[in-house]
Amino acid sequence: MTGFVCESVGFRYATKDGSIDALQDVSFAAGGHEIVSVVGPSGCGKTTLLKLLAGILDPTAGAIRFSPDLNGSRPKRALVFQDHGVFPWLTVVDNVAFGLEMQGVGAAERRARARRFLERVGLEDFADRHPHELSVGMRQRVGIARAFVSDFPILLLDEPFGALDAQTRLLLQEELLGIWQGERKLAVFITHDIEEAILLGDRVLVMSGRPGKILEEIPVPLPRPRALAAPDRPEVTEIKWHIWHHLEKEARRQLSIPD
Amino acid sequence: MILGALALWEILVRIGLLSPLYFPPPTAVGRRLWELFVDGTYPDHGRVTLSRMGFGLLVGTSLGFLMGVAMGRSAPLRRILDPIIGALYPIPKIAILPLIMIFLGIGESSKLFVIALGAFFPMLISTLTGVIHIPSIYFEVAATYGSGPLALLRRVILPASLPTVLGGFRIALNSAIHITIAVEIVSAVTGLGSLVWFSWETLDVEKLYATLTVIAVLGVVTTHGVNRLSQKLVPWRT
Ligand SMILES: Nc1ncnc2c1ncn2[C@@H]1O[C@H](COP(=O)(O)OP(=O)(O)OP(=O)(O)O)[C@@H](O)[C@H]1O
Ligand SMILES: [Mg+2]
Repeated sequence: MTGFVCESVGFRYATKDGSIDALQDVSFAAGGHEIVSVVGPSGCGKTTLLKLLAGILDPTAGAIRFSPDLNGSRPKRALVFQDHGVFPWLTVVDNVAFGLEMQGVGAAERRARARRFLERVGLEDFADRHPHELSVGMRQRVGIARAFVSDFPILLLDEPFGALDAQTRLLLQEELLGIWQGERKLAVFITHDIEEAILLGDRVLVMSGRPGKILEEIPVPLPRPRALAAPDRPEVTEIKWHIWHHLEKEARRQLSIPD
Repeated sequence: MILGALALWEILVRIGLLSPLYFPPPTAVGRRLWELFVDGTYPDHGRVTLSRMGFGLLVGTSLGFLMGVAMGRSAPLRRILDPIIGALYPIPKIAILPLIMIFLGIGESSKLFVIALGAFFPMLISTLTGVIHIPSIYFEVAATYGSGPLALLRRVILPASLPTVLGGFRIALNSAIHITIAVEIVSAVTGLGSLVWFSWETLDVEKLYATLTVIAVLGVVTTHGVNRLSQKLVPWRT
């Protein structure tokens, strides 16, 4: 089973004037075919956590174990970056095909596959443009398509729908669920939007303010497949308020506002 | 504008306000230029100058680029080399020609070395600046998709630093032109720079002006070419 275990993971950024503890004692496991949502106040270390999972950063404390791990060959992880990280010098289609290119897929095939994904995120007419001709939300979609098309077993998503309007967001949430359902991936999904975390996730991890710890892990008892546009359900609302209170307390603590 | 100035110059010489000894009339300079062109003087010497400059530019900028990338990607290398480069860069390259001639002899190689050195430093410093300022997210994206060092260079480092690198190439070109002409003036019997010097020695003022015109045109044409090329190479905006 594809998965990973975080064992008391900590991360400390070394900066010019001292160091910043971004994460402390983060332990959780994820595996198989599930979506783990992560919510937490701004600056609590969510992006840091995903970068650790992606292998861009290494834990300064604890460890992350992947399975399967055959002599250091771990399941590949695709990261959708919060600031999209789309290359300005590549056309949209070549940006989406970048992951495939690095895997050694030939030009014709990788462009064909990239174009199919551009259709799914509604950008087929912009395939041969450069990113500066796109809006921020469109660039975010290019970043999403790039991660999805690479077909890695683990998807790491850092507030991927943050820059999108409600309708586009809903379509892409459904697209994400469709891909996840069809290709049986493991996904870690970071968001600011509590409702989104609940509707997409099998579990919601609630993080504390910096240094980020996991305060609580909340299972989501909704059946799958899920209808995202369904009217408010009482069980969703209940979990939402539960998480909301957690986060409000954390936000107050961070901003030093007394209860 | 230029034509007007030339016409004024011509008139001032004709009515005797400017001495043709210092300011030969443009028509005479033009005639001289044409003669030296058809008798093969300018084509031959121009070719020599261009190939010296081209060779020095090619070698100097290639090495400057590679070293700039290496330094841009390695903080320890930067710490070691930065002070050395800081000390060497300001030395006018023409001033070390005699030293180089002691090592490499008075032949072609010492000239080429000094020209390449002149192109090397601006390219190195621009490339270094360009590479250091590449946003780290681009390296992170490449890392998550498993880019090898070559793919990283070709698909990320080169394009991301290209605008700055091309700026460096323009300065390197300029520097190569200066140093080539200077080297030819002080130590060559061929090339446009040597013609400048011979014209002075023989007090052939018309030829002096004509040769300077050729050099100016050469500089304008090559700089313009590089500018056009850089616009073609960078169709994106960041
Ligand atoms: N490169 C860095 N150098 C130093 N400190 C950093 C660096 N990146 C992040 N930090 C610090 O680490 C903490 C966690 O940052 P991180 O980006 O992981 O937060 P986040 O939870 O993703 O926030 P947001 O919800 O606003 O995206 C922050 O306090 C931030 O100041
Ligand atoms: Mg973040």
